[in-house]
Amino acid sequence: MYYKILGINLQIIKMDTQLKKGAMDLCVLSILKNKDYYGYELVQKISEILPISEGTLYPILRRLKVERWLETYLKESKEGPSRKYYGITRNGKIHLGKIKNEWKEFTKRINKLIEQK
Amino acid sequence: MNKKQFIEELRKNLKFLKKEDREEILGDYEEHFIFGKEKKRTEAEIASSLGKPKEISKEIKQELNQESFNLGGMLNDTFFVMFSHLSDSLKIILHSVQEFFKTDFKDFIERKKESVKVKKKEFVKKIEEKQEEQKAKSKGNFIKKFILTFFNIFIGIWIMISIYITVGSLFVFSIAISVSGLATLVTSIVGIFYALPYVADNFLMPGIFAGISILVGGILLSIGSWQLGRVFSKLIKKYMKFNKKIMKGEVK
Repeated sequence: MYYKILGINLQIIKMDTQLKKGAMDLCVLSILKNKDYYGYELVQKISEILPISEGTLYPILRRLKVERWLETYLKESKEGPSRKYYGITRNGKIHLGKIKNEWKEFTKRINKLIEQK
Repeated sequence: MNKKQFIEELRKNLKFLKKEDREEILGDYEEHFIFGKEKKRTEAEIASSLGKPKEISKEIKQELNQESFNLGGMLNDTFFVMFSHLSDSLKIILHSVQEFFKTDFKDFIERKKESVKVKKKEFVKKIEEKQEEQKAKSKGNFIKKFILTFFNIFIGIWIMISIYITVGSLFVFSIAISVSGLATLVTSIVGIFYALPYVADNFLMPGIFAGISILVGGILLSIGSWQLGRVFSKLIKKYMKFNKKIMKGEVK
């Protein structure tokens, strides 16, 4: 119980850099949960949802790959050069479940706070 | 800003990375330009949507820091998980220990108390039974006891005293005889070598024999009286035991 609370405390300490990225991790993993996308497609999809510059997404994808939550593979394309596809790993799915709950808990608390009269 | 400019500027800003990593990242952005062009966007449009190369390099730096920071976070997480497990197991152990003392120790104490109570009751019962038995016995022997006490006081004690005196005086008498025999012997032997006053010369040889015989007789008599005394004392002890038995009511 207190571990969870402490976990959230840690999250809050890191929040200035973490909150946005936590949201991005969540977005990326949620999008890739159902279907594999190649880089450009994925970046376009996320930039539709979140108001961020597309360039900052590639470092995030790279980090997620380093964390072994994503895997990449090259796929031949009829139209042009082979595309680098991104897919979620088993670890990534587990991590997604975890951060989804954390996000829900976090937003619930924040919402409760800001809805106070 | 076209593709080439963008890539070159980014390359400049990513000098802190290893060459392999840098080229991999640059490859991603080049790919992005290629697919953007396929979607009929201009290089400038794509470059502007990607953001400033400086911002991207900042982002990459932050992500790298994030990785190291995440390592710390992971360590923290594992640490807290371990501790939470440890505290849980400790709680379980403490709880079980508490339960053990609550149930078994209490039970143990109560059982002991009960056993002590039972033993006390048994002990009291035994004593009461014994007392009752003795009371029942002593009632029937009252006359016997009375006669015995009367006999002891007015006859028994005197008989005992006279026996003691008789035997004792016999013992003293026999010792006196043996001492006088010894004295006769010694004076007779001394009288052979030295001329003693008041001792006749013709008494010396018979004096020695008489002394020896009187001494032996005295010793024998003292031994006999000693033995007699022992026999009498045994008899008296038996009589005392008999008295005790009668007093306790063991003899009907």
